[in-house]
Amino acid sequence: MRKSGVFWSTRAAQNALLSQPLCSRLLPLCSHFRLARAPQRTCPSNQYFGSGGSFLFKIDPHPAPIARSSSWTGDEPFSAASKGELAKCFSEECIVSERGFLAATPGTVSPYFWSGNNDYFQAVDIAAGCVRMGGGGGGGGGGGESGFSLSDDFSKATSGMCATFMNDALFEGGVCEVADVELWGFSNM
Amino acid sequence: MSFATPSINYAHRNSKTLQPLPPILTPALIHSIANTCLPRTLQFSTWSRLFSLARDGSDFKSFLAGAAKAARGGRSETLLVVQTMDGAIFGGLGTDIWYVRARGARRGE
Repeated sequence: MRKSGVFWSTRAAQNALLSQPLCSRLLPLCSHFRLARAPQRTCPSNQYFGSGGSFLFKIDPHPAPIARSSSWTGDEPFSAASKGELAKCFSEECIVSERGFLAATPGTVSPYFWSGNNDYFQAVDIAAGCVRMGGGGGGGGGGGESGFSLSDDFSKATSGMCATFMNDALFEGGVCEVADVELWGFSNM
Repeated sequence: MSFATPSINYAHRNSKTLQPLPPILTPALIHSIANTCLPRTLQFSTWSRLFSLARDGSDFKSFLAGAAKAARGGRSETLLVVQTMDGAIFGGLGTDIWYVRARGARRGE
């Protein structure tokens, strides 16, 4: 006998199965046929929007030496020639230390792309007075920390590990006062 | 290996005080982000600073108005960048324009 694509081996097994509640009838079938399940895909909050092209990033705030003039050893005064060489490398975005050159805006960019765990990409939460990206902590669901959250008066921000991007805290301590905020857009050339 | 060289359109000065307002994202950082994070469809786009806390103030409506400008450029993606008092810089790329979602609205509405 064939019914809805499932072969029923015996009449007794069929009767036993049909006498159970619907959920307990379907679960063994799911496990038997290894039906695919979306990973940790809980019902997304209505506040969230965006798509999987979203990402978070952080930039190391501490400067690190990234280059040194080949003509300047550090033993003699810094010369205009060295400065010219420096300018060729880094344009105007350099400062000079005693022993070498430091980029004024150093640090590597660390991106955190979508993990696929949930789709809490971006939200404007009027009730909480913040904008946020990412969500769903270790426990899943709509709870947990945001990848980052920025208060709507732009004074404070918080950050923590979130399931959406599987990021570390984007800055030390996880809570900070904000110095500046920018929003950049893109247009096709 | 070629690197993207995005164009940058800064609004450099406060319209009232005419004070210079250096952006958080310098050209070097923009190049770095463009080459390490951005999808290829955005790597050669022109970047425009739609909102700046230092330039536009802390009114949330200014932020949303700046975000709404993104659509006029032909792309809905925006990069939100935050600098902390300690000098750390972080943020994220949102693929949709930032807006207040009506209660009860479903995804895509």
